[in-house]
Amino acid sequence: MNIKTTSWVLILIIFGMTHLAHADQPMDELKGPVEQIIHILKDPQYKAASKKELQQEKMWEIARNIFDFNAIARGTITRYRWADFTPRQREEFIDVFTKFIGDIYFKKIQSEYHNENVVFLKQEMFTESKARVMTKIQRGTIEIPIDYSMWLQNGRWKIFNVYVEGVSLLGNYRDQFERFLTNSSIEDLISELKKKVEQQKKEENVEKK
Amino acid sequence: MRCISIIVIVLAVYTTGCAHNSAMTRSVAPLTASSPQNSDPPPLSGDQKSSEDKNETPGLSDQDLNTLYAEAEAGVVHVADPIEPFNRAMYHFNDKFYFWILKPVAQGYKFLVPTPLRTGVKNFFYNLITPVRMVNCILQGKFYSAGTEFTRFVINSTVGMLGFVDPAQNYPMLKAKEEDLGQTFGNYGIGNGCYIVWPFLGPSTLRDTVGMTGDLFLNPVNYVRPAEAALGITAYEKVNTTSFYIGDYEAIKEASLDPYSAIRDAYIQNRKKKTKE
Repeated sequence: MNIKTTSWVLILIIFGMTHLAHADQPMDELKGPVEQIIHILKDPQYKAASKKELQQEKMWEIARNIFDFNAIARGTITRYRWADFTPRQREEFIDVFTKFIGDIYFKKIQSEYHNENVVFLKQEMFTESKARVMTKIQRGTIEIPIDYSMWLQNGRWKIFNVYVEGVSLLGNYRDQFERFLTNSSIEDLISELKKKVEQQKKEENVEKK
Repeated sequence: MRCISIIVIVLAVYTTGCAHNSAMTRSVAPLTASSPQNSDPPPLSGDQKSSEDKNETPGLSDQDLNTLYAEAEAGVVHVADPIEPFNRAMYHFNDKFYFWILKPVAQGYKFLVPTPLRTGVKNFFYNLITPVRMVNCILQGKFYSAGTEFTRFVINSTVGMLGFVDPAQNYPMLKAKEEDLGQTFGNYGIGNGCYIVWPFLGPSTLRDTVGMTGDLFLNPVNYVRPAEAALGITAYEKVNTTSFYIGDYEAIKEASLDPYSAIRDAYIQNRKKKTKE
């Protein structure tokens, strides 16, 4: 009896320990969604062109949980420019920018996914709540390094920046938008992004036909 | 004894429960205060800033915003571009060249030539320019890497049948070292100089152009005579390489408001990363 209880206790403790050790690890939290997205990409039920939109929706659901789109959009505008945005413009910008980058990247991986593997290389913890996860996409003999900056928000690790071959998404857009806003208005920026999103949609519809 | 074991069980359950519930406890935190959710000391400037940041994005604390800005700023690299009008003209030339000539040719080539063969050709050319990588490893004092390149070259040229196969890729320690003269100069502390877009060759800088010219002497293809043949081989290599990257340039173009400056920044950042490695 005694031995049995002690062994149960031991099992529980060990289980608890391992569980603790693995909790809240950014790389582990990233692995799940990435694998889910790959699963959706491989799923033969989305092969037909008419199912592509559904497939994108499924990918969006997963991406929204792991990407901090709010922060990514915000990080592309400098502090003093942001002060000029009206609350409506802020909301609109975050919304359209999220659609803009999401559509581009989903469309790209949808059209070009050929059983590439994602290899998780390592994670670097900068602070308790900030980390970078290094991965690479293996496309035949070509390797594309992709690093994710992640932070802990409300107990979940979320992506707030992506580096593709060392090129920072935040940095690249920040520069572009800053340059755009020196010559044009905030409204122009928002409508330009909207135009790009619509263009994407049009191209998709053409492909469907 | 039994009492102790029960306590231990309760503790064990409690600790595992903690790991699960951390998400919940933390999610309450931002509602109660904008205090940071980790054990970092609160930012001293928090009080002063909070008034001006009242209208900031909801859900992001001052500290988050600082992190975000630091991250975004670290990703911005500037390069002098005094000959921008010329560069833009060259960019448009290359753009047209890609869409009108290179892409259709590469697409046709991709359709006709099976992937294993194209991969073989790519491997062959990659193996052929081993001298470029090896010499630059030596110039940077990376003798171990130079040895790796040498071993790669020996294995791939023999077992790999003149480099068409890449058996060395099965050994992680034989990973190729992407070095060139431009990176060597960067390693010596020489800056980029200005940005230059060359017709056909694409983005470069003053430093990388000098480097590229130097590297030409280490590329065996350039010793092929007549020179027209060397040019033909280079063009073929370009088509073969492009066949692996169709769609990438299009995506970059779609993803930016001003592709010219987006590519310029990306080039400089990518080179910076490579020089650091």
